[in-house]
Amino acid sequence: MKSKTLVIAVREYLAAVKTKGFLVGLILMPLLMGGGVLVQSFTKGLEDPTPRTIAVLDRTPGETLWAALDTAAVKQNSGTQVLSVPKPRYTLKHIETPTDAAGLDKTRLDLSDRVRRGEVTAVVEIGPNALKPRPTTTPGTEPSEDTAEDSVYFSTNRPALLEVRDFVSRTIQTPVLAARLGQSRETIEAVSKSSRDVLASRGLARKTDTGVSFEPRSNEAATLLLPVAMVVVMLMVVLVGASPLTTNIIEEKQLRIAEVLVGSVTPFTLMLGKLLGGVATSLTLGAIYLGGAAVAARQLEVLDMLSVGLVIWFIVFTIVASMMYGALFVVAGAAATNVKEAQALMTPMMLVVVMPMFLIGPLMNEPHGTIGLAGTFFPLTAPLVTMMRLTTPPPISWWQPVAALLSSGLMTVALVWLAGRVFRAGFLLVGRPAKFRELIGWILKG
Amino acid sequence: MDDAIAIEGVRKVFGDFVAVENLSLRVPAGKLCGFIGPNGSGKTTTLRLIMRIYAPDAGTVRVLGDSRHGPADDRVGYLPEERMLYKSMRVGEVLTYLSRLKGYKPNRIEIDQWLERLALPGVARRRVQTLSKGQTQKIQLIAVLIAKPKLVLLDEPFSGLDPVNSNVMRDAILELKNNGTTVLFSTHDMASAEELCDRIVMIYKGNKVMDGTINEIRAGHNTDTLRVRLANLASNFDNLPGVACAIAEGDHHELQLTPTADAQAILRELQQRGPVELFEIARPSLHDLFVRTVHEGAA
Repeated sequence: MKSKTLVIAVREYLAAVKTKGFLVGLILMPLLMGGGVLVQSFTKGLEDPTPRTIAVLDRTPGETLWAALDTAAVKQNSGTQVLSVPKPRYTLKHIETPTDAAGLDKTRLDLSDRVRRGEVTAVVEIGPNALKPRPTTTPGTEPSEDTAEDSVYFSTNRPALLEVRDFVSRTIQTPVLAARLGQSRETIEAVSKSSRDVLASRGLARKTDTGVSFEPRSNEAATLLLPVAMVVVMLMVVLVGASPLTTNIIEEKQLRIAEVLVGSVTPFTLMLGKLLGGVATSLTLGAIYLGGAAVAARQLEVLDMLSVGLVIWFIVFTIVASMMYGALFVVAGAAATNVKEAQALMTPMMLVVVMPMFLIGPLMNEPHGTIGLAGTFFPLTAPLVTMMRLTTPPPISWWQPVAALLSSGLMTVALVWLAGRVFRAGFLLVGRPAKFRELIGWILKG
Repeated sequence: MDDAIAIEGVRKVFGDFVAVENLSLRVPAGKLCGFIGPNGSGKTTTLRLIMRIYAPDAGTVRVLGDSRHGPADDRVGYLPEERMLYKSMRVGEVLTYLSRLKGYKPNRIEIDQWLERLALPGVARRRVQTLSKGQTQKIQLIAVLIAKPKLVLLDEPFSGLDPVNSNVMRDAILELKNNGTTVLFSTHDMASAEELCDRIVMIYKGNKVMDGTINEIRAGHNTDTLRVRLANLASNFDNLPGVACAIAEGDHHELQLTPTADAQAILRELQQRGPVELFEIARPSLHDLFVRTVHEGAA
């Protein structure tokens, strides 16, 4: 039986790694991980070159901010060509201040319509009291809210054009603050500069031959990235190995190979072979990714973060997760007769599989808190959550991954047993999907 | 002689449907046994019971002396009725894979010899999806036989084959018999069953209704048919004593006799009506017996 299981596992493995799906999975992950950065750097400087027209309604006495914006636009436009890539030009439209409230409303409506028609990119309305000092707040009381007369408003229907908003904000920030606080522009700029970077980051101290040095700051980024990367990589390799089991089983049912196979081996042996083939596929992909990660880590001088212990846990939890989730996909394949039916069954199963992804946010905040502990001991999330916690400092107690392994291992045995019973009854089922009651019957009666 | 298959009082039920009821049958070792019956009569279920794919709800199934239910027996080869192979695998790979599942590892020469024997030379490197249906069916047969089983179960082995490939399949089955392999095959092809089989078993609605050698089965039925051809083909067979009905069959007529009919009296009567070119007291064919059994069961 053992050798037959191995024969099936080898065939399943070879069939899987020769597929286009595997090759796509192989290159998809690095693309997902590094693609964002690449795309960002590649598209940098490729902004939409259409002119930015900003209508400015400066209601302050003397229209001092209009002047500041106009000067800034001229300065901005003087450097609109970077290499051969054109940068967008800024055109400012001066809007006359209406004399009464009705005229103001009419102007606002007119400007908004021009934005909607695409004639104007954004409207900046500066209240008449925008430059006046704010009333002093009494300790213990809430500051009064600014009115339309006190504020500077920015309106557009293209909120994604952040650089337009940044341009306006950057230009008026200092003069407005200087006027409101009754200080010179130089003072405001000095305060601004001094208030930046009060808290600087530094790596931990470590002893060297020559004394004490600090770990490079790149470790910090790696510390933040590694847990997420580990979970994403593990999930990816597990899915590449386990999820094809459903379609594979359905294909064998549709092609009527099923009966040939169960004429030679027991359904359980067949299922176990398939699961092991899936595990081998996952491990192959995992090894390739880990190898790539090790090369990258060496380049970034953070190779020490990928310890041998971590790699061993990665392998162990990948095996457990592949078997555990693979058993769920086997159930879907055995109960369905075509891919459409299987997809309906796979949806709840996929939710179970990606559940740890929903926990990434809370786990990043507090990896060793209540959610982290619960995720470690809940069998269906244990492999991924524990892997994430193992890669997040400070180190967790040795018994926690062991307990996670035990709980997920027991769940794996239970699910494989359960899947075996469903598989035995459902593998030869063709023509109609299994009803829920039938599934329960198969599990209970075998 | 030991029985390769010994089934005693087997019952198999799926939900409310009784697939096999109190079935007992024996297939002696080394014999070629035909398994016939109309669609849905329980043939495939019985073959799956023998293969241990299903466990009986009652009774015992003993195969090559072993009545355990559990892992498939490597000594038994099985060709299911609806069968396909992995389309993207090469022929050589698929034969090696299926053989290894039977605990046998064939070498390349062996595979090539089998392919030659079934008129498929040089296809070992070809992918299954490039083969015709007939070629695929022969590959499936090789996959069953290459592991040298002692008992071979074939479910409708001739279905979908053209006459040439049917002959190849027939020769392969006869070769198995000559080598001492026990063969049980289900078929709707009565002529093949009659021609090839040492024994015939027929089941109908899950029950065995016929079991024995061709001669034993025929002996159990009266010779109640006459094959007659008169020189004057237009002759009518009305009012012949002891004849229930006359059915035109190409160049002759088949006369169904009543139980008390006297064949010699009928011959004398026919000679008075014209020159008799053919007069044969016919034994019912397997096809006739099959149809009659089904009609009687339906009635």
